[in-house]
Amino acid sequence: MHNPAKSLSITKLAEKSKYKTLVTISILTGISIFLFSTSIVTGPADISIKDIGQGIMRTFGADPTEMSGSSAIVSVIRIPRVLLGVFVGAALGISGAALQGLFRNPLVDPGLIGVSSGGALGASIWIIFGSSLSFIPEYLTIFMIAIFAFLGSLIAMLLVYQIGSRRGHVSVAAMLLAGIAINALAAAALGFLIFVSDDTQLRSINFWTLGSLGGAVWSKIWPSLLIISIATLLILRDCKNLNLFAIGEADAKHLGCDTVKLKRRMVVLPAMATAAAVSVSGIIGFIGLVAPHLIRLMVGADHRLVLPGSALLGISLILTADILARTAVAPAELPLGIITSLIGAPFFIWLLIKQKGWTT
Amino acid sequence: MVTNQTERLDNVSLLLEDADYEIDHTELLKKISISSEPGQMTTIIGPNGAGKSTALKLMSGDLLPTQGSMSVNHQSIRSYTPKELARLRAILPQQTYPAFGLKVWELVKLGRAPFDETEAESVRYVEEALCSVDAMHLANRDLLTLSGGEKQRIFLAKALAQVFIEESKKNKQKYLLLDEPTASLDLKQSHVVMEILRKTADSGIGVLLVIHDLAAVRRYADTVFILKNGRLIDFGDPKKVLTLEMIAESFEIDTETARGSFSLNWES
Repeated sequence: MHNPAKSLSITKLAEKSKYKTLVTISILTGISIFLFSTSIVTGPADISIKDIGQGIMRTFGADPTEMSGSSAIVSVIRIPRVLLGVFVGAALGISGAALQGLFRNPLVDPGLIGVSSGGALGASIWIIFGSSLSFIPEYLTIFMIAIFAFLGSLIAMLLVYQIGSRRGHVSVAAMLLAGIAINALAAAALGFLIFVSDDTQLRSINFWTLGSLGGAVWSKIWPSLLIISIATLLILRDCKNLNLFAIGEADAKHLGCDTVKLKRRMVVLPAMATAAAVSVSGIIGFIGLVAPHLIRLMVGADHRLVLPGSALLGISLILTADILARTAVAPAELPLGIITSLIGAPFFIWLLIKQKGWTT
Repeated sequence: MVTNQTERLDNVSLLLEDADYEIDHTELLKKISISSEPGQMTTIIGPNGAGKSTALKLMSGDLLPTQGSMSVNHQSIRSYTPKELARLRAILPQQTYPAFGLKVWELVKLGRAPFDETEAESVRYVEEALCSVDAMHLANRDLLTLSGGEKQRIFLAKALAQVFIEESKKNKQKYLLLDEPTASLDLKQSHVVMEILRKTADSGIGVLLVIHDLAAVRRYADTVFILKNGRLIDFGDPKKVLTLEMIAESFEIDTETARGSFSLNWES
C-alpha cells in the first residue's frame, strides 16, 4: 500500500510551498524597499544620496550642524511621511486580511464595513469636543485622538459583526448593508461636526475624510506607529488559527482552536490597527480589500502567507499611490484616499460581478 | 438497561453518563448513557429526530449536558482545553466546508494542527492518511474540484491524520467521531468508508458514528446504541440487538417493512 514514489510527493509539495512562501515574501519585501527609496527621493526638492544618509543620521539624533539643508527635508518631511505610509499600508493590508479571515469572506475591507469611518468619526469627536478639555496633559492628547479613533472603529466593528453574523453564520449581504448603514451614520455625524466646527477644525476633519500621508510629523505619528506594530505582530501570531477558522468555526474548534478568543482578537486587533492608521492618515479606502485579494490570487489562501503578504503589498500599494498623489498634479498634491478609491472601487465592482453567484 | 456500566468505567473511554440535554425547555435527550472505547466501532442509530446528532455533539464536547456527565478518559470534558481535546479526538461533521483555495494535502495537514511537531512529521502523517483513504493521487488537487465521494474521503483523511497515535505516545487513547459519514455516498463508496473505519478501529482508535445504514452496522460495528425520542431504548452487539422486532419498534414500521428495507446487503 505504501508507495515510496508517491509518498515522496507530499514532502515535495510541502517543500515547494515553503519555497513559494520564501520567494513571495522576498519579492514583496524587495518591491517595498524599492518603493520606499523611490518615495524618499520623489518630491519638489532634489535629494542626493548624501542628503539621504545625513537625513537618516539626523533622524537618529546625530548633530546636524555640518549637514546640508536637504538632509533636514529628508529627516523632517520625507522619512516621517514614507514611514507613516509603510505603517498605514501594513495596518490596512493586514487588517483587511484578518477581517476577511474572520468573516470568511473576501468582500470585507475596513473601509467598506465602516471601521475606518467609525475611526474617523471618533477622531473628529475628539478634535471638536475633546481639545477644549484643558485638564488633559499635553502628552496624553496625542494618544487621545488614537484612542477615540479606536473606540469609533471598535463600535463600528462590533455593530457589523452583530448584524452580519447569526449563530456563527455570516451573511455577506447583511454585513455589507450594515457597513453602508454605519458609513451613512458616520457621514451624517461628521456632517454635523463640520457644521459646528471652526475653520481650523474643519480643515482637520476634511483631512480625515479624504486621507493623506501629508500630516506626518514625528511628534504626532509615533503613538500610531507603536500601536500598529503591536497589533500587526499580534495578528501575525494567529495565522495558523485563521487557517483553521477558514474551514468553519466548528471544525476549527475541533482542531483545538479557541474560536471564542480568536474571534475576539480578530475584532479588536484589526480595529486597533485600522484606527491607529486612520487617526494619522485619515480614511484611505480599499487597500485592505485589494491587497489580500491580489495575494490570494497569486499564492493561494494560506494565512501564513496571506497575512504578511497583505501587509507587504499594502505597503507597496500605499507608497505607489502616495508617489502618484505627489507627482500627478505637482506642485499641488492629490489626497491619497482619492487615488486608492479610484483604483479600489472599480476593483470592488469587478469582484462583485465575478462573484455573482453569492446569494447569502 | 444500562447494566454493565460499572464494568465499563474501568477502561478508558468516551463516556456519556445519564445525560439530559434540553434547549429552550425542550428535552432533546433524557438519561442517555453511551460509551466509546478504543479499538471498538460503536454506532448510534435511530429514527430522524431521535437525538443522535445531539448525542454525538455531547460526546465531542460541542454541547455540554444539562444534567449528567461527559468524561474523556475518566476526566470531565469540561476540564480539557480545546487543544487538549483536539489531541484526543477528531470529528467528521455531517457538513463540511471546503475553504476557498485550499489544496487537498493542505486540508489534510490541518488535522495535525493541534500537535507540536516538525513539518516532516506532519507530512508523514498526511501521507499516511491520504494513503489509507487511497487518495494520494488527489494530493495536489484543489478541494473545490473534487466529487462528493472524493471530498468525503479527504475530510476523513484529515480526521484520520488527527487521530493517528504518535510513536512516542503509544499509550494514548484516541477517538474518531463521525456524523453520518456515508449519508451522501453510493453503495461502493460507503463500503470503502466503512472498511476504512473498521481498520481504524482495529488499529486501536475508538470509532463512534451516527449512521442510518443498518446493514452496515450489522456488518461492521461492535456495538450499537439505539435512540428513540431522546431516549436510549437498547444497546449491545448489533447481531443480537438488531432484531427485526427491535428495528420495527424503534423505527415504527411493521416487521415486514423492516425485513424488506434491511434484507438488501444482509449478511450472516
